[in-house]
Amino acid sequence: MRLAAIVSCAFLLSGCLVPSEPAKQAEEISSISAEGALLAHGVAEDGVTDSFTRVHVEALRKKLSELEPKVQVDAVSTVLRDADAALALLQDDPAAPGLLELRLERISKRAEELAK
Amino acid sequence: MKKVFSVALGIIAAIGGFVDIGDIVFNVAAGATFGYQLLWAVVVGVGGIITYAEMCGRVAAVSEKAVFDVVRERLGFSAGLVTLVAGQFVNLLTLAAEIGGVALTLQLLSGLSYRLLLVLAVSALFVVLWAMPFSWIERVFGYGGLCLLVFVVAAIKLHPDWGSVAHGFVPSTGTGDGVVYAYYVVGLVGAAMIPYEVYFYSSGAVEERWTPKDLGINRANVLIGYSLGGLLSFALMISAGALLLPRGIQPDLLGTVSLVAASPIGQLGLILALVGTLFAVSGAAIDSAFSGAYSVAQFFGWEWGKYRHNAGAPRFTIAWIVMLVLGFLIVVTGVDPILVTEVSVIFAVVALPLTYLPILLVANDRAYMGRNANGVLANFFGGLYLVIILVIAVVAIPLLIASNMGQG
Repeated sequence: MRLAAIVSCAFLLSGCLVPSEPAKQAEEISSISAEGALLAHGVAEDGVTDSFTRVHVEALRKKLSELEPKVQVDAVSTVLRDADAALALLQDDPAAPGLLELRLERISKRAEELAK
Repeated sequence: MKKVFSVALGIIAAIGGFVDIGDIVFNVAAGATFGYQLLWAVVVGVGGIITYAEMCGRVAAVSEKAVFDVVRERLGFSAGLVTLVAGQFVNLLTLAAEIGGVALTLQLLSGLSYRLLLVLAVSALFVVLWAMPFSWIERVFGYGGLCLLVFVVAAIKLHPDWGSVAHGFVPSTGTGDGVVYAYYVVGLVGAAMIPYEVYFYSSGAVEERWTPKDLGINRANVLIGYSLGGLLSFALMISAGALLLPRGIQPDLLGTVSLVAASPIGQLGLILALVGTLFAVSGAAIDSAFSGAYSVAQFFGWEWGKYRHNAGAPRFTIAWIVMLVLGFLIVVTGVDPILVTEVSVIFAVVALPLTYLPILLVANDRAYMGRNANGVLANFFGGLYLVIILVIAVVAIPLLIASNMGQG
């Protein structure tokens, strides 16, 4: 019974961890994009494996998809879609990871500005 | 020479076995949020585990009794039962988090499906728990966990500001959100002192049939092993502070931790970080499954111990199988293992006084321990840490809620 309560609590908390304030949402997108840029840098330098890239990008995109339904502000929604599109390229066919790194860095900065 | 070799093996196992998923998550998240400001909290946590693990090992060597024998004897059945339930609850959450961590790490290594890997992880853990001798379990997973030393190299290669790093060892109230800072202090101390470590350590001492002649080995293992294990925690926090904080990256994925090693070192760093995490988290899963079985068997006076083999201690064997199955059932629901980790560490903090108070009482009892009872130094640190434990146990849950699990 107690365990069930705690596991439910963990589920509920996981819902609470998806931010509802626009500034926090933008901050989260900025963090995810910055991490995507770091990963793209790793891909460009041959510093990460293909399977790691695929799994980790999928996890980053899942975070964006959890955030998406809660986003109400257009500018935040746009930056979220841009981040997701860039990460999708990194996941499926990272032909030019250096360019993707720059693109994700720019998205991260835009989201950071929105968070202010 | 044999004794020196035994000490060295124990120390190496302790270094690799110190870090589990809770340490990894809290140290990296603390570094990414507050830089090096919380290094002092790791020192507090490591000091606490050294103090109490040494007492547990000493009590086990002198009396041949492990923690839950002592808990039942000192607290009586009712209070002992409360301790058992609280301890088992935390053990189970920890085990669930570690099983999830094993599957996540395997997924990052192989790219296969998470659910398939959960089944593979539990099956592999079952085979190891069933078939591998105690000394092999301790050493194989301890040595494998040494791959995590790659984070020490990463921390150096990331060229942190060493002046700020040094400043982080001085306790401070921190800059930024005070509630989140306090949440991380509690999490870091709790992750270092999580109870299953002492349940496992003291039961292991009985398994290996320690006598008062082994008190030197006990002291060397905990002092050197846990201190060097703490070095891994420092490395994780420093690396995250140098790499993730300036970029505004908030790590709540296990992959982010490995990326911290991959960034300055490359693919070798990534592989070593993932393999080290796999061994450390698998070792912790084994420790927490056994700890659950040790606790319940010791409390009810059943036959227990790996040295008796599975058929020689049937209820003990059933107990760890039940723990493993329950842990699997929790994570297979789809709950995020990282979230379970954070919840388990914070709830472990609440259970800390119930675990550590009876140990302090017995280790201080001259009628029981004779000339091996606590000296002035052990009593000073034991008392000091009991106060710290009581304070953080009271504030842990309110901080979990007020800080939105460290998200602010």
